[in-house]
Amino acid sequence: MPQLDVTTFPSQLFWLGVCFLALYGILYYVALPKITRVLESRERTLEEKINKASLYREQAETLLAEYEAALASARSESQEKSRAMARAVSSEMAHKQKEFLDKINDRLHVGEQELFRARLETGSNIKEVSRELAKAILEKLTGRTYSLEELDR
Amino acid sequence: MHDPLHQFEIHSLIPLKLEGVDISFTNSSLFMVVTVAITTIFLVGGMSRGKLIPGRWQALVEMMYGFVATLLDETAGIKGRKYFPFIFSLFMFILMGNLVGMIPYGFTFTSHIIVTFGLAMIAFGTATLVGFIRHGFRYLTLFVPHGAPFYMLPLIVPIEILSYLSRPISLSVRLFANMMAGHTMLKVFAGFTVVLGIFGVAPLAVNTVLTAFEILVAVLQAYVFTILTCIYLHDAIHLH
Repeated sequence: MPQLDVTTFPSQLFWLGVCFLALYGILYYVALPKITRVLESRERTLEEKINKASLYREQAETLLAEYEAALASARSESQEKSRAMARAVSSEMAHKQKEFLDKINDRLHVGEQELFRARLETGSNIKEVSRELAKAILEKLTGRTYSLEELDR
Repeated sequence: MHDPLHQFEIHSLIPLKLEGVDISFTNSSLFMVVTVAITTIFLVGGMSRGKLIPGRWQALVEMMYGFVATLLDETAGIKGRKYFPFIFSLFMFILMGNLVGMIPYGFTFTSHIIVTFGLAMIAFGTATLVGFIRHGFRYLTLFVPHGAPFYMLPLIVPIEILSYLSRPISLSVRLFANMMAGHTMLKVFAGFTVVLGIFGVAPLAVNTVLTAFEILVAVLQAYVFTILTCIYLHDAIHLH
């Protein structure tokens, strides 16, 4: 078995030592710093991006809040205005309606009075006419003249 | 028929001697260097552009990083993060070594007990060192379990010490045995395929399945080695 050939041992151990030390040196001074540098820079970049993203998100959130506040105030303002307008309009309307009703009532009143007067006038007229008529009829029938006073009796 | 163990043979490519000790550059050393090179290209190349949104290659590198980082965090805790480069090197070295060994005609240096023992000693030694540096001699209280009746201590403490010292052995043998057994089996079935001629299709099919299985084992053993090292580190940092 070649593994048990003791004469090769010093050479193998020597070269193992040399090679392992060389590899350790290369890794320690060249390869590992390179890897760590890349990994660290990646971590840093990721962190920066994450920070930036969260900053943007915060900004967006404040913007949204501002927008919503503005929207709410505008909405309440417009509601307030429309309510005031409605109130004004309805009071105006009531006022006008009242005025109109008053006017109508006035006219109605006047009309009624006129009607009443007209009715009275026509009532007295009818009496006069019927008296005249009755006198005329009697005069025709009897052939004599009557005074109105006689007829009234 | 080829000797299934032939693939584990070590031959010198560039003979070298240091103070009389043979430290020749061998095929094993070559594949260690190749592993280091591939790991470096994989990690550095994948991150070369360092894009914010990773491509496939970069994503793979980052996945490896994330995988080992979570593993360490979950087993050794936050305080273990300091040792991440060490754990990551260990994981990548074993993983890539195992995977490079899966290439035909390649060499698997993790199939040699001395290499896995060396790796285990690196892991174990580091953990022990961390323990003594953090806690000084209080680290030795690791061998005294909480709530054990004091008259049992003469029995428990030696057992604890023994189990602590056997950690590198179990670590190294686990990785070595897995890699060697798998590669031997692959070679045995490959030998059958050659010998049986047209009927070699059957062992070839087995070999195909085994290759996939071996890749799983390669990844799994690297993971096991790493997680055990993390657990030892946890002990060293937190003392139980």
